[in-house]
Amino acid sequence: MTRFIALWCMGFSLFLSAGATANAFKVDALTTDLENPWGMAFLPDGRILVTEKSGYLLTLSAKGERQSRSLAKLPNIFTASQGGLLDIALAPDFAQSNQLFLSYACGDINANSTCLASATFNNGELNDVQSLFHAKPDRRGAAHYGGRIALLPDNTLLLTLGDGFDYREQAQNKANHLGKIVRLTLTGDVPTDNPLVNEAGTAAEIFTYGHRNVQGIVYDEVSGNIYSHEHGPKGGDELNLLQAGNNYGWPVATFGIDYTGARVSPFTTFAGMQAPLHVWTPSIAPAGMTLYRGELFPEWQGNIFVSALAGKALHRLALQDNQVIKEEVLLQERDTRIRDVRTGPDGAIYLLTDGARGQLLRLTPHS
Amino acid sequence: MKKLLLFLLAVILAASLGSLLQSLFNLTAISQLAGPISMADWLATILHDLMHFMPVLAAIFFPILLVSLVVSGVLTRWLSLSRIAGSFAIAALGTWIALTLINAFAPMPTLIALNRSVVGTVLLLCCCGIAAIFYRFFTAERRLS
Repeated sequence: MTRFIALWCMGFSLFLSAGATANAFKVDALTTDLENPWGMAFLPDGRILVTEKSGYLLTLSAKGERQSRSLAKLPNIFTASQGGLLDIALAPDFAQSNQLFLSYACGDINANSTCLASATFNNGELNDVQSLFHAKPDRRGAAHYGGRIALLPDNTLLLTLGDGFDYREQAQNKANHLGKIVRLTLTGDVPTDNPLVNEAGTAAEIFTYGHRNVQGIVYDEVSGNIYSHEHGPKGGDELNLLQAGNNYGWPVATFGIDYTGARVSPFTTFAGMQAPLHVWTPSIAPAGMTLYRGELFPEWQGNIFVSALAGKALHRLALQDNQVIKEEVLLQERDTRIRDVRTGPDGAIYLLTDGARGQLLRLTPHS
Repeated sequence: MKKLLLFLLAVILAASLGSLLQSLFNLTAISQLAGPISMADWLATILHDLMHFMPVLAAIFFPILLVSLVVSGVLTRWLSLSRIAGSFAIAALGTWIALTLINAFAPMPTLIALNRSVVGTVLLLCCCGIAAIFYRFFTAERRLS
């Protein structure tokens, strides 16, 4: 009995420390006329860059006022269905170089893929565009591009990719980039310490494999951990802790089934394949992620925020020892698909809502 | 009433065959990645697909078979074609057209996993073709040619 009470008290204190904070914040809509926004990045001077899937790059003031909107002239960009201009990330030396990275779908409806380019940003325009990476092979259709970028402290970057939907078995084939997360240098080369670089017959860019469609990745400077999430099919959306060279199971190990109801695999776990930290069934369609290290919400320190499209909400996950100990679903009352979530330099949480009239929202404490 | 019952049985036959093929193809692909799959997993997957996928496939096949049986009934009479061959061919063609339309309008490139490969697609078409023959055979007044 004493043990039970002690365990209950421990659980309750964890619950409190995880910070149940409904209504502890206010939401401001900074911009309400974004056309299918996808990714965002914060400039050192506080301005915000937003990508639109149709290929436009917007510059917004810190208050959300539109300063410019220009077509990103990326090589061979392909805009259809889930394809188009995707994520954006600033180079570590952006203040000096003005360099940034853009991910996008490239090719045409019969042969397309995910590409990465670098460019310099000046006065709302992109210049010196250089193609850095083209995921191979090209595939048919316009789905599952992944496309999120995370910069690592060793001057490399991670680019998430998708399985192309029709090619799910290829996520287990280490000879190509389908269903992988790749690690590249900032010039697009293969780092010599990539996990599979010395393995014959593999794509040297691979960092992790066995993914379906990864649209959220974050590197935590405090813990050194890298987290990603990915869309499952019908059910089985996953939060994963990434470790170099690991296999994350798709399509062999999955908690999801096909959209038609057919079973993809009889296995939810499998030897040699990493199990997810957290699973969402039914699917929430996770599309963006941040790990909060800002100062405005001390109670949310180290929490992971996941924006959800189908779930139409913002999910806050409190972790302890890489276990999700609490999940809080926020902003459900807005009934809006949320494409991306980021921590701003001011400690506020910024969101992009999905759709032809997307919004930039800012979460700040009530007080 | 008998024709309606036979038509519904034909739809269920086509969908059940399609579901079994889907299980077979999916698990074969998984076993190529993960090694042998136990009989229990095979049976559980077949049962799962019959319960959850077969009804979806039946909903897709229902209008396909309805239209293709009407069309084949008219065409085989007009053109004096074999009713069995004509029904099979038109049901298969109708299925192919319907799958093409579904994939063009669905958000994903290919809705039904079996439809991802040429062999799988041909077998799906055959499911409807066989169901059309089933219907013709049991509704015929022994005038099959």
